[in-house]
Amino acid sequence: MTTSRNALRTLRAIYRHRDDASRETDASYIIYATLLALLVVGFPVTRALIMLLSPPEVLTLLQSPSAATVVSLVFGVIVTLLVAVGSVRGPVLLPPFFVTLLAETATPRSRTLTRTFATAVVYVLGGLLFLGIVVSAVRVFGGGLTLVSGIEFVLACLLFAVVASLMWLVGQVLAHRAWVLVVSLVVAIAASVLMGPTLAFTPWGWLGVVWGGDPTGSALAIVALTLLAIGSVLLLPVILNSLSREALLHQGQQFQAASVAAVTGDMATALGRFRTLPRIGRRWRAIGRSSGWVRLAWIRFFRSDAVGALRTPVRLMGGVVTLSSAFALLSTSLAPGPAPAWLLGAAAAGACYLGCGVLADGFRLSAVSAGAPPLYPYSTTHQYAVHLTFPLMTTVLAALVGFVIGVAFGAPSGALIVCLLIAVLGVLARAFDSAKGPPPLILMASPVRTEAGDPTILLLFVWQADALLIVAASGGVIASLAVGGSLLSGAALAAVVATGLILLLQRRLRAS
Amino acid sequence: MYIVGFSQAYAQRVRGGCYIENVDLLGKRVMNPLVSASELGVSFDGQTLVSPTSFHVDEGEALAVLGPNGAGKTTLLRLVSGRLRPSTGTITVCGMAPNEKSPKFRAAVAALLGSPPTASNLTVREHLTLVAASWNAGADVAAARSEFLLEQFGITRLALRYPHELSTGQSQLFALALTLSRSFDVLLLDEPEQRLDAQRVHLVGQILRSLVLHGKTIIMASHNADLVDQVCDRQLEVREVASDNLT
Repeated sequence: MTTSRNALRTLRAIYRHRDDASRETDASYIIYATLLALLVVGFPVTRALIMLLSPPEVLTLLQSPSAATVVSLVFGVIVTLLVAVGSVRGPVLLPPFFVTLLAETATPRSRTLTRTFATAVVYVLGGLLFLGIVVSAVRVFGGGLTLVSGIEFVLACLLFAVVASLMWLVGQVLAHRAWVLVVSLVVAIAASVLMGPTLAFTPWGWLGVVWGGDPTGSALAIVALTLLAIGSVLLLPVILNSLSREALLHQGQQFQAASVAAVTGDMATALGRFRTLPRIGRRWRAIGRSSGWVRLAWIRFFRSDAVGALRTPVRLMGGVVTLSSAFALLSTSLAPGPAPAWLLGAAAAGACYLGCGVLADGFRLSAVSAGAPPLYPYSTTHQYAVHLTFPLMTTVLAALVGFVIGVAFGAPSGALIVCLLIAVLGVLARAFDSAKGPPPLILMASPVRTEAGDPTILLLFVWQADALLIVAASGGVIASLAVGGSLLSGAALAAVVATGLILLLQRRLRAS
Repeated sequence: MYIVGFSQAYAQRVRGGCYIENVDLLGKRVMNPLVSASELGVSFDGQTLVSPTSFHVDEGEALAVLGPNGAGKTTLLRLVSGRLRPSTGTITVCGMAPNEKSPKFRAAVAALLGSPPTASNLTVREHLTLVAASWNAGADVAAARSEFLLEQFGITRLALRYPHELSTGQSQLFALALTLSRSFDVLLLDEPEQRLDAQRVHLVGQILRSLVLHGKTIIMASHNADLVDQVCDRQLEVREVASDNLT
């Protein structure tokens, strides 16, 4: 053990003496800059956020009887998301060379990787601490909670963050098998929320108990969270030691390649690095047996796209849930409420665009085919058309589900039209985005020096996110028009945007 | 200028859908070549990628495009496939100027120039069947065609694998099978021997020669002398420095 500790110390000493290593003055500067940023930016932003959440109607929502359940649900979702994220980007992310250097020696991984883990979880701890401080401050200043209860909730957030950090690591250890834990957590969270009393016996439910402010319940919940956090810390070496070289190397290589692609502005390649590859369903029939149906290209490609998507079920489920939730939000944005319709509409349409991503593999294949000798007897535009059926039908189905959910929360009937319009725009925007080439050289090679920095980075962002911005802006305007009673104007706008997207897609295909 | 081979001049038998047949002044039937290039060249910004080259290939003939790395073999194949426009000269394939936007041209020419696009969520067998079915083969015919190709390339055991589960050599065999799963009259191949062991190269050679014997036309860039001998009837030498070369 002493030998391995010495080896690690020597390794770090050598690494510290490399040419581009940060010096002591660099560290002092980073601490100074961080403190300054917290003081100049962090404090005013936190204050502004607290003020934004302080109107009486928001306070009423935070104090409502169902708020504790919602809080439990939110923390349950956070831990589930961390497990899912861990399978793609775990807390122990090292460049491939460092995987060899640190994880392939005789020194236990619990020793070599602890520092990397600790650095990564600062974000989880910081994020949940910030969340706890903001909502507690809103409630305490609004008179809805005592100062002690507020501090208890912040403490509970911090303890939960320790547990959640370990779950992030568990996601990384499980890698592609993490979906089993994700599905189990989703089922457990849904069951505990639906069954009510059992919620108080779950870690996410303990946050809800502390939120409620009952002194005895809060004390018990904090004791339980403390024990769980201690258990997580004790388990950390075991989990770190069970990290496989393959999992570390895979994520390291994936991120290295993706960052190279991202630096060159090739976001499609960068994101493609993280797309889940199928491992199941290879015997499912993606091509039909009936000659008559198979001859119809629309049917043939609908089936192969659908079966193909089902082969990555967690990814598909994630997309469909995102889409349905987005359409539910879009529907409710048209009902009277505290938030403006344009804001919710834009957010929902943006989420719809993101959800459509998992359905757009056919478009991506068509885009790649545009630059290669033809395998199919269709032009590239025709290929896009035959790959349109599956994403369009699935998105429309999700729009119907979202609308039904929205109706339960008071959405008007006109919301159905709005949902269908955004569904079409979301799918077309995905087709438009799939044909995007590399960024224009003018954005990559001509930094413009101004006192506020290089504004071309903003233009590059707009160029990268053009499809998302188009759909979000359309969603905001259409929702706003629908609330104002001009549904027909909204439909006309959607038709114009849809036509524009098709024309721009054809232009991109011609240029490729 | 490169001039390779001479037309067989007389029609034999019309096999392919785009076979061109004419009658000469003496009333004899003469065959126009399936692929005919005259002074075909590519220059870009003062740089010559392909020196002016002339050649023709008849139906049921295989032409090997030879030359060192960077001589322009792949560029020449891209010209024939319609992926690139020539700077000089003319070319016709099945009587058409190469144009990948033309459905008739797409139906006539199959090409493997680099890795073909594949769907990550379809198996090897499904890829072959889907492509075959797209060319108006019925479901049964498409399925039979894919089984035949799997067997022919010795990759039946890989039928249920996804593309990302193949080794580089297996991927090359899959790419070749995928290219052959569609119908065509002219087949363009860029170094089909890539990443294959000697046994697999011989197997590919057998398959390609069999296609030639069945009336298909092949133009193939290659660095493998054994494969060229096994498949090709004639050779076109492409050199970095323009000079006449007739073999």
